[in-house]
Amino acid sequence: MSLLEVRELTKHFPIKSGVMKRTTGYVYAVDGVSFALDRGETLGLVGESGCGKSTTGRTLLRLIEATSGTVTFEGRDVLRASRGDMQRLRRDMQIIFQDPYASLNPRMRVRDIVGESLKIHGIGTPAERKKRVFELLETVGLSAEHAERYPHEFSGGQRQRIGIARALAPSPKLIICDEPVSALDVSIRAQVINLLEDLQGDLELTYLFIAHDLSVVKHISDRVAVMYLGKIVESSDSSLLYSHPQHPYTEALLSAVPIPDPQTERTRRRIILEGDVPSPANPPHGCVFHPRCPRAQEICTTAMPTLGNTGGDAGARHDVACYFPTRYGGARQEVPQTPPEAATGGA
Amino acid sequence: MAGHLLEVTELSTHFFTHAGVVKAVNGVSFTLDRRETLGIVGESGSGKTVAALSLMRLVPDPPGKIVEGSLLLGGRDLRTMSGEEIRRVRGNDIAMIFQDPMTSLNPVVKVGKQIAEAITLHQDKSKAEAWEMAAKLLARVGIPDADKRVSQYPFEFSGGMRQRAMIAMAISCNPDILIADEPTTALDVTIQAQIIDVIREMQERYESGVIAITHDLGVVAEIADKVMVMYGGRTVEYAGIDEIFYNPQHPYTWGLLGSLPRLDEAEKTRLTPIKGQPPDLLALPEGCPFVGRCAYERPECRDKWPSLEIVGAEHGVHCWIPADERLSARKRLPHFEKLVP
Amino acid sequence: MAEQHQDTSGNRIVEDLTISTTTERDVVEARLAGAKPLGLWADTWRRLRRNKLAVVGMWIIIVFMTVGGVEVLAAAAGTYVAPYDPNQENYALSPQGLGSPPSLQHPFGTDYLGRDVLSRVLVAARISLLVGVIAVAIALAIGLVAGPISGYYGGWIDSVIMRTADVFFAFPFILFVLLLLTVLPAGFGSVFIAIGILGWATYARLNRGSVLSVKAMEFVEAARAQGASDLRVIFRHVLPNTMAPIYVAIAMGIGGAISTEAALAFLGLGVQPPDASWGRMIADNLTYLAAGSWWMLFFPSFFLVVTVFGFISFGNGLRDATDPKLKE
Repeated sequence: MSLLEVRELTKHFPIKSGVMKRTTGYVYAVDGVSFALDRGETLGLVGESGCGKSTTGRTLLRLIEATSGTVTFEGRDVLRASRGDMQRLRRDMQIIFQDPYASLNPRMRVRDIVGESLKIHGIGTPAERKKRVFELLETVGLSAEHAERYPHEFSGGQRQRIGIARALAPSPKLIICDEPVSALDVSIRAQVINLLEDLQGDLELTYLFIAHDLSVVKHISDRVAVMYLGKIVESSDSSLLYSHPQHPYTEALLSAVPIPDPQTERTRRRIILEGDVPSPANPPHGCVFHPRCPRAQEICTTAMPTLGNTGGDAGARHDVACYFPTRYGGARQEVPQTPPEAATGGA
Repeated sequence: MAGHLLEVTELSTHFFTHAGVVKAVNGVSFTLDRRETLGIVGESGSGKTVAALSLMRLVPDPPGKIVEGSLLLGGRDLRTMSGEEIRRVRGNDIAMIFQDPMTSLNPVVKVGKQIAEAITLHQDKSKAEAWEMAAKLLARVGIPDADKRVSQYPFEFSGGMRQRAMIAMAISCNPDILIADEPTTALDVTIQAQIIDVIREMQERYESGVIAITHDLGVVAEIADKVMVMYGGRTVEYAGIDEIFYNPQHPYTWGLLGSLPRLDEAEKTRLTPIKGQPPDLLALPEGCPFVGRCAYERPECRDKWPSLEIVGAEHGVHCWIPADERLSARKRLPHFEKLVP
Repeated sequence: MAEQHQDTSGNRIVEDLTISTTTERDVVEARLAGAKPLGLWADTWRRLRRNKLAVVGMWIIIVFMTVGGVEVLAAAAGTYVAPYDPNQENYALSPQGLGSPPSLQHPFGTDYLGRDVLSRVLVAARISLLVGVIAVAIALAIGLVAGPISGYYGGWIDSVIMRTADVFFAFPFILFVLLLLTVLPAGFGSVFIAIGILGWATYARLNRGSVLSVKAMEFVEAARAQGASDLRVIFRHVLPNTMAPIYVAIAMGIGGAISTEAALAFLGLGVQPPDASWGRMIADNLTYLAAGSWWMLFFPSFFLVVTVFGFISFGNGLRDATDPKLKE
């Protein structure tokens, strides 16, 4: 059984306008997202702004309430959990935020920030909690003497470590990493990425790694799912996605990422997409990507293709939501409509 | 060397704050020619943005002050110009594109008007002519329906379009130099690619020199002809684009290159981060600001700033490690095995 | 490119509007990285110290609180701290019922009943202190519960609370006080309570605004992700981060309460004769001004004005000192 199973997760934000605050439309932030996560693996969720990846992460933890869909953690229903059940789930599912300056309460000392979940869940005696906070700080590369300080006394990278220590406090099984390194300096990013990898090995953690930086996502993830306008358009094994992308959006995305290698940059083939990303309040009909798609045909305007397994090499799973995936030379194929949850995740 | 378009020598900009003196830029020198792109690479606290602002004399004074250096633009020293003269230079000879297009455009003024203002400020054009030029410029930077867009407000533009509008404003007076401060950081990656194309196109068209300030080595690899690496207010290394990536000489440059996850890495490699924290600008050592983070530190590094060592044509580095030791140290680094020996 | 203007105390401030805020933030953040740990208020304190008017105000507040505090304690013990008994009438000292002007024995003179004005002024300080503290404390107690709840939950709770606050704002103040006094027990304490009850709306509305912006911050989300209950989130995370403007409002509020007491004294509300409050003294002694007995009116007025001024100045200074946009 997968650790986390997400099925048709949907979040529509109502747009209220006018004096009477009537609902005039919706922002289709997350629109039928499904995936599964096994224990110990890292699933990267990648996409540009407005694709819904951050909303997806928050909805899993019910920091935002989903509109519909199911989320199952170790077989337990998350979205419909009672208050008490949700409290217990919060010990197993944690989150690391993007902004190291905004995610720590400036008026709380580090020891209170890190130890708060222990206090809330009544884990251990005060003395034991204090000891655990020191341990956690050491684990993330800080020291016990930092416990008495305030967040503003630390650099961005150190603050992010404090955030990681906080997430680790209740001994979670799953950590949702929401752009954990985007706001950090390049030289500090590698420190935090390595730390996250080490922690995963030492503590048997499972990560949902949400980011827009494809290089980072590829590096840390076992599998990657690409989101566009609230939907997953492609998902597969990490290295496979990058070597053999199937979806035209994925191809464009990959070709747009600058590579720190001048020779490669000079010889690369670039796919430049036309226009801007449409607003999730007004998604295109049919396939959400068709207005910008170099391969778009008549059928693409009719209905959004379902995410189905195109069957990678050696039977590895490679799901694409496209009528003309690259694997088949851009020609229309009957994509086997295997629903994502029926198969095991990843190779 | 024949006259460069821009010649900066020993630029030093300090901030005099209540907590002490922040030497944001400390003895930085570089040149720029027409049609050339200089990439200034650094992280927060490196001084790259302050250096660019110093060129335009936009450093807030107080608490900032250009304490030293000459900034020669076509022979004229920007530093000693009068307020009137420097205002004529800004937008006209040197134009700047800021990082965040959301906050750099005035939200209550129509986009066309903002561009037209830039035009009428420096050129002898009527308002109607300026407005027409504004529409043409928007089209030139690739904004569709430019005639309609020119009468819209910034909030009606997307992030990418706003950045294009900023570029349109910047090129409106055919600047000799275009400074792009983190032009792609706030944008999505597919939009980044578009913007970089626009900048390149404009550079071609107007034969301008471009200074691209960024922390993203990928962007640098894409657009720069030569690179200056800054750390703690100092230039630690400068070189041509290929030299900096394939023959880097400074431990900080190695560190930067080694800490990057790459899209084209074959199997999973572990990143080699730079240990430590960014420098405290209030407590910079007299010597190399990279002390404390450098794996090859020697006693003289803290107290004496290394003199310039010319390593090749147009390639200089400031480091106390002797050249041969540097090369063998570099060879031992995991990600440099395949580099030029 | 740079705009110059003055802060509320006339100090020159230069605000540069052309630089993108990221530059400054880079410089400032890099500066703080690894720098000596500063207290949370160290920066504010330093900026406050440079504002001369605010420092003067602060000293006035300190003196006032000391004197008032002493008198409050003394009154609780049934006594007073003053050169003379403030209620001791002495007709000998009031020829023609017009009091006697300042002299060596009576530096502030005596009033129409021969009572020593200095003693009365000192003792009256306790009333001002009490009104300030009690009124603001009550207003805070209500406002800092209503405000955060209103701001955090939004929706109909927010509407109800804010509409109620609107009612309190709209009502003529004096009428409301009179209304409340019909239901509160007699005695001057009730006037203070009334002022307090009417003042909650200001703090609630002020706080609600801050709450709206703070509740969207990531550390609040983080607290919820830790499993924090709503109560904990509101009062442990949100409220402490909204206090800066509240401190300013408290300073202003105390000043305001003190002058309100004086206004109400003219209506015969609050302290009753023969007890002394500055407002009472002003109200009682006003008529004697025409007769030439200026000292009876001057001294209580002076102390009232100076005290209120002290609170307002300090409040202004505090506001300027905590405003991140004002540069030095």
